[in-house]
Amino acid sequence: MLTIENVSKRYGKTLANDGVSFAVGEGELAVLLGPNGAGKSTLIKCIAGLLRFEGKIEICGHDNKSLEAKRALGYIPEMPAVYDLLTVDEHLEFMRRAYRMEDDGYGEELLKRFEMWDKRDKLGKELSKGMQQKLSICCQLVHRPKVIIFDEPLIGLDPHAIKELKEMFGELRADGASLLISTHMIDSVENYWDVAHIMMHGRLAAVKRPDDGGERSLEELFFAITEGGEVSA
Amino acid sequence: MKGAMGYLVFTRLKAQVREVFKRPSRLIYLLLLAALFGLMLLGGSGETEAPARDARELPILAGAFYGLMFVVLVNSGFKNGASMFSLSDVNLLFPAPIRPRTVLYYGLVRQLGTSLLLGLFLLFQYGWLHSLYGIGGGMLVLIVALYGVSVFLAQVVAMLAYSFTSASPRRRTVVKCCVYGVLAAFVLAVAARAALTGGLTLDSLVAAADSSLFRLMPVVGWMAGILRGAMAGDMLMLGAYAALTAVFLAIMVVLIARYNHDFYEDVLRTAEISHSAITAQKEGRVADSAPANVKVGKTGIGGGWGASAIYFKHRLESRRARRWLLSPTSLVFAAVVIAFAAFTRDSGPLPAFLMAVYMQMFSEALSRFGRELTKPYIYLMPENAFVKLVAALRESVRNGLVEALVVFVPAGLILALDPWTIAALVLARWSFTLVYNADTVAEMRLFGGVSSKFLTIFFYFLLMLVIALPGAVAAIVLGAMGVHPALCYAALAVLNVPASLLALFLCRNMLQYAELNDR
Repeated sequence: MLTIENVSKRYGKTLANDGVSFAVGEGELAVLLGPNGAGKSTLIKCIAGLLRFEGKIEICGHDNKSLEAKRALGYIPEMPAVYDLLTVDEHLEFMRRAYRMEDDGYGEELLKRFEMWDKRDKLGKELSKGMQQKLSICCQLVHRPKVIIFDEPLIGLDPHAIKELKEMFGELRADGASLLISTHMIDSVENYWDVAHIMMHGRLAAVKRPDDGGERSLEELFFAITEGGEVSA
Repeated sequence: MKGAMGYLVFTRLKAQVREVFKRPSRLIYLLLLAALFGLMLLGGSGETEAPARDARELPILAGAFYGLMFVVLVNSGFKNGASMFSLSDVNLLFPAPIRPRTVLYYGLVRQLGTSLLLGLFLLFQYGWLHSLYGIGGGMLVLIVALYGVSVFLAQVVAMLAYSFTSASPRRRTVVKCCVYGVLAAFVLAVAARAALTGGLTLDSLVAAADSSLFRLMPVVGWMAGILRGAMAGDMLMLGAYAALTAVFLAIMVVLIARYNHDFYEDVLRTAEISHSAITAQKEGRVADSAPANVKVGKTGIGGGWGASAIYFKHRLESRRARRWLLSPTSLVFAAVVIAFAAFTRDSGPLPAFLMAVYMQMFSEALSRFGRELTKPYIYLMPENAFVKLVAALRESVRNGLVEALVVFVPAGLILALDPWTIAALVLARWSFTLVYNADTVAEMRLFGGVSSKFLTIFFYFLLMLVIALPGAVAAIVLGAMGVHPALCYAALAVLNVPASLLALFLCRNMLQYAELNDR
């Protein structure tokens, strides 16, 4: 369970997030939509505890800076974060050791699903950007987090990895994890979201659920807000 | 189309000037730099002081430095080509209906400007250059200009080297052997001459290098010749080597312009690499100084549970990054300090120590700890923030001691210091590992939210002064009292350690409150 209450973040004079509040329940997949510069990545980093902010963020009922919250969180950044001098396998070993987890074979399963198993002895610096992104995803899933936040996860992935990741979204949701996916590519999240939060100018401009009975599609609502200035939240 | 190129050059220039005035922090930084340089110029402008060192050394020292840059750039040119264009030039100018020769001239002009700007850091070497060699402002400007010219020439040669050798690895090997062979032959000839006349001492090496033989060495020797001519007031010498340089440059440009119309490929790779490096810097990432060919060796982190896994990971990364005892960058820095100690040996250990601490600032910025802070994992790990901080610092602290030994044992022997002073210098140099790391932590904890890079650097220096002040004051006071130098350096180290530890303790929650700010 992820709860965000009245979160604001300021960079100098720029108000990147302005009183954002929403929650992502257990087994729920939320998407965070918005044009470039809407404040999505800033909010994601605040949730991950990488930025200071005003307001309150809780992960599984714990303050997001607490150890309990960190243990429950998986964060996949927009830019793949890999170590140049560690092999693929060593990345996963490092994560297991850092999170004090014995090897239960899940890392191997992840690498196989993302077609990285044959690359397990390759160094991070030898991987293409797409492979680095896949490794970054594996690193953040290997400790089986309960709340997972993805920042533009599909960028740079090949079609197989996209298919695999989308399937994984479904499995994680079925296992009761809370997922928040930030993106500005609406068609990439079509069909598998439970709730969509549309951000504009650092604020939450609209919230839509598939079954809320509205006549407009998510895409139509998105353009009405981002191009027409409509606010429905 | 010349209009288009002219428009591009002047619009870029205007935008850069406007940017300075639009961002007050940048203007303050520039004014501070100008004031610092002015102070340095005024402070060291005494005419009465006699130069502490033989003035013949300076052109050789400068030539060696220019030569080092020349070799590094040309070597990179063999692999990647020249770097005179940005990626926006590549994407917008290359496909445009503009004659490649016009684009080339634009690139050359741009490169000349960049090369001269790169040389501006030499302005801040005025203090020691003035006190050791008695040079004035005019000579300093010449040193900067010659640096710019040698970098510019290196880029032109790099471009030619790439275009002639990129298609054939065999040809590349042959040309590489020829270029390095010629340079090595000159160096060996100078060394042999010194050995035969007065033995391999610094004085005989200087005497051997202060000769027409050394000055015949392409680019390196010519630059040294221009400087020597200017210093000695020998206009004929200055003119001759300047003419030689100009002819060489003209031949290179004609060769490129006439026979290498299709030069776009020769600059493409470096433009892409530079763009990645600039993007990485903007995003707060640090490019790893890993060798191109890493020997993976034994795999596995091999230890650590929780936060201590960071330390074991750092050990593994360092093992793969290093060629010998230290990383290639640290080895270069160590060699620079040792060479500096050799040239300033009459002034005691202080200049070498100051140089070592100055160079350490750059090596610490590239330390495992510094790199770790640019990745999200250390912030996300569910471990106590202070324990993570200590684990992340362990490897840097250990490496700092190795670096201090590698630098000051040979430097101490060159300076003919007693073992106590060498040990104190090692300890003092190592204590600055703690100072710099504590400084980084304190800066991130206190000013992590500051988005201006200039203000960040300013606060970094300010905090460093605060942490190192007690030790520096104690060392200066003891030195003024005539206490043995070993005790002065030991006092500096002994006070640096608790001051740094205190700063680290006060900022122990840095990882909890820092900002991984890559906006």
